[in-house]
Amino acid sequence: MATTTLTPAELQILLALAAESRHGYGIKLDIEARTGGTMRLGSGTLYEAIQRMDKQGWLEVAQAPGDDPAESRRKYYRLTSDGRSLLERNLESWRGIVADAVALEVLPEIRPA
Amino acid sequence: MSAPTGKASLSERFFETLIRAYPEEFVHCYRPELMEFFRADMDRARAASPLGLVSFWARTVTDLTASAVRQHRALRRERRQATERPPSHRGREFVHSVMQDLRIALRGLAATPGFAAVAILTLAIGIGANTTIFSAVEVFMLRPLPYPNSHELMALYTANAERGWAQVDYSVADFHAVREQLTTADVGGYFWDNVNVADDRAQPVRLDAMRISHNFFDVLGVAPVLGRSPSLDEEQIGTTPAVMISHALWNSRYGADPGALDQLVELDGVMHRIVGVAPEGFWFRSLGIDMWPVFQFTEGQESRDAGRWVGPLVRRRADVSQETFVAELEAVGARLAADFPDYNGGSRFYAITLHADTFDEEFKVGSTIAMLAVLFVLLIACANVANLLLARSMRRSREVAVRTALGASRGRIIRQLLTEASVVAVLGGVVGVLLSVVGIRALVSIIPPETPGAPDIGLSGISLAFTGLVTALTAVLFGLAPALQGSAIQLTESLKDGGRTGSGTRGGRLRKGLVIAEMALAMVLLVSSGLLVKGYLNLRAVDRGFDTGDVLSLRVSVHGTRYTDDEAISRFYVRAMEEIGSVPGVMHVSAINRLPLSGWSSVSYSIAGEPVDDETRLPFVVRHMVMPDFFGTVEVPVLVGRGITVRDMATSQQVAVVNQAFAGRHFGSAEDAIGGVIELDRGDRTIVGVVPDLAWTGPVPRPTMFLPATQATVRTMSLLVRTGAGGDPTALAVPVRRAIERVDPALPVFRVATLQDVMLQQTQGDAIMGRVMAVLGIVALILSVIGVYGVMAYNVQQRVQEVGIRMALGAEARDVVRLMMRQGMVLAGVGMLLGLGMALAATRGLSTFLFGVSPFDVGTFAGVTGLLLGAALLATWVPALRSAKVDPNVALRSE
Repeated sequence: MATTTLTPAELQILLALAAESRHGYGIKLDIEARTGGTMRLGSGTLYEAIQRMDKQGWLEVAQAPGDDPAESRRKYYRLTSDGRSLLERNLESWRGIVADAVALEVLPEIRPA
Repeated sequence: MSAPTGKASLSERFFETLIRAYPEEFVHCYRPELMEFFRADMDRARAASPLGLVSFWARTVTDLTASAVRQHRALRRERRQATERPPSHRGREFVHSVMQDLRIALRGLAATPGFAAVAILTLAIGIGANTTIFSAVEVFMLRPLPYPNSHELMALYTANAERGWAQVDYSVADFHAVREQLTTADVGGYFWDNVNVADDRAQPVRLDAMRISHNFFDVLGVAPVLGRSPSLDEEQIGTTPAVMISHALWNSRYGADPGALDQLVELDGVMHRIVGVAPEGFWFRSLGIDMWPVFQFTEGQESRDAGRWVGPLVRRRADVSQETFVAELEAVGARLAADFPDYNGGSRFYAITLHADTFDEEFKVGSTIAMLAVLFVLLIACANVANLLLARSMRRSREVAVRTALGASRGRIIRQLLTEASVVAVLGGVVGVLLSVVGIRALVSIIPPETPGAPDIGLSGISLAFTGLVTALTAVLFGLAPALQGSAIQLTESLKDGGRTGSGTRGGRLRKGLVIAEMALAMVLLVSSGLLVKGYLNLRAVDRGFDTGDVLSLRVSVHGTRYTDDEAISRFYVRAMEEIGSVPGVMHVSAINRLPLSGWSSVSYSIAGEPVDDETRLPFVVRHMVMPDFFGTVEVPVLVGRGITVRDMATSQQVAVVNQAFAGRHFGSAEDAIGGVIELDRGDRTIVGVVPDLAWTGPVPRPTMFLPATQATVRTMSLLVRTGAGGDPTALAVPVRRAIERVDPALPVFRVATLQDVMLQQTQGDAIMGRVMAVLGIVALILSVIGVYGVMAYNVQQRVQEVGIRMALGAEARDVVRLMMRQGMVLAGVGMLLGLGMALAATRGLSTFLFGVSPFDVGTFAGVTGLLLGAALLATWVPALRSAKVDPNVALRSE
């Protein structure tokens, strides 16, 4: 079965949840920070994607970390194992594409950060 | 938070409103998070820069809108996949869902056959009535006359306000003048006539004919199917006059033999040559005319004094505007008035379209009234069906709510309800067309056969298209209200409530409005039809001052070589009177030149001894020419003096009998009129008798004089033969014909009919309107009673529980009935008041058809009000009575 290709927004959301569970606004902030502000998700687009991925079973609602009562009312999201493997497969295919691009000299060689 | 809460909450409220654009499920799931996201995001944007807030709002709004649209689309896709079928082509899908709506609608109707039958039949009556009336109105009013470029054709008349006439033909001299002087139009002319036809082909007959100018057919643009049009020289005395014959006559009398051309035929004793055959079905002004001989005017007829009896028919030249033509006609007329002041002083020469001449005011007003009446019937039918559908959709509100909950969109539900309305409308339309076939046949049967266009009345393409239009309009009219109402049903409330919605809500108000409208329309229609029927009955029952019972009339016209002088003509009539008088069963016999209501001739006069202000402005009097014993034959008492007798011969004293109106005008009393002298162009007349005013020429008696036909030249007269009381006048037809043959076997006798039938025929316009409106009025009454009953019955059903509670709390059955009836009667009362107002404004337009009835006739208004009130009482009383029979225990348990 072919792997579902994620949209850039979905990819970034899953990526944001890869390390830890986050609430909606946290996901947005994380993406903005990582992309240097080039991807700024609106609330509608974000929750639309969350709903879709929730239905697909790629992410789920999680317990808020810590004991802060204000925080515990917030809905946190985390990756499911399906979501994690889908993310990995997508990233793998991206890695392949990037390798091809480098080999074709469309992209310069990636230097270690 | 840095911002004041008030401000923040306003933004939040706005954002919250925006969120509602999302599908319900989404909002339900994510609203708190979205709000939280929004607050955090806005705080950050505000902290960044003042401009940040602007770009923040721009981003937020576009983002929300775009994603909401995406969400809706996804949701629809999902539902389609889940509930129905694999994704398919858009158009096919639409067709499929329409078919599904149709199936549901048909199933729904089949499940409630009572509702279906009432709704379809109600609409069918409305649509059928509209199609029927429109089929006739289309022929009379919309269809162009059957001549090429018929809009260029006009009829000319004169009007003279000073002398009191509005539409009078031209004298031969004026006709010639107009024909020679008008350059902007081709001018032909005609006048009505009857001719005795004799040839070696068949029995002599009397035929309706029209004397025409040689170019009459050319002006109409109609070419003969055989032969040629007459030529100008055939109008000259001394040549053999040409005659065109009808296709029907060519078939019946000449066996469709082309050899009929150039044959000679004797018309009123003058040899004519058949030169052409008119196309099949050709008609002008009236049907049933079989001969168009070319007129040849004698020198005497060319004189302006010889009367005005030529109707000019003109075709405006195609390159000339109507304004130019009218200007030239008026200039020619003004010249004729200036040149001949005695005769044309004060006259205006004008043109009306040939269409308006053929289908006159009576057609126009009648058509308008009938169309309005059927429209009212249709509106009442629509209101009824709308009420039925409304009640039904309310009853089905639970079903609608369930369907909505299962994901049916508002649009889809509107479409479903509209589909149901359309199915009812289309079925009603189909049945309506079937009804109109019967209706048209009935309508044609009461229209006189010689009415122009009568044979063309039928279901034409145009009338079917009209029916389609009416049907579509109907569906929208009665379908939309329930559809909008039905789709506005509140999901949760309908599910909570046991399907018992609608009482006191918008739906209730709409239904009440429809009942009010219905009662108002019924009121207008019933008052109108009541007035028209009353007028028609008046017309039949009016005391005209003479008796039409037991009288046979026969028309005779003496022409030919045997009748060249006045004495011969007079001798024929005197001898005919004697012969007919000796026929067993004949009590009285006489003759008159004009039958009742068949027009009249009038002459100007002066009274000896009365000063004349202006020779050119003499008054007019209606002149009848009668044979002896006329007043005895029509049972009119002679008030003073004597009637016309056999002693009044050409050589004896020239006398006149006048009516009371005339006597009163000049002499004050009947007695004083005796011996008075009337000065006429052709000599003085001494008044020898006075009779009551007769409504011979029309409903309003005019000043009239009766002159002995034996003292003038009257070629054509109607013989009147009275049988004894109870005798059958038609049984005398054959013996009376034999008697006339004994005087002159060559003279045809025509238009044999009882005087009563002649009268009926002359009042057919009023009769048609009376009957059509009577039928429509009854239909309106029935439909509106059904409407009131339906709404009341529904209300009672809705309030069963309330009634149960009231009765459990001690209300008497009587109180319940009163309660229920009050509601119904208030609606009916409001509707009737509204209708009364509308009727008062509307009935004035009916006056053309109202004989002896005021448009505000109190009796009719009161009668109709009483009738409608009674009907409304009955329609509310029956359901109200049923409500009182409610068993409180059952009613309360019904929850």
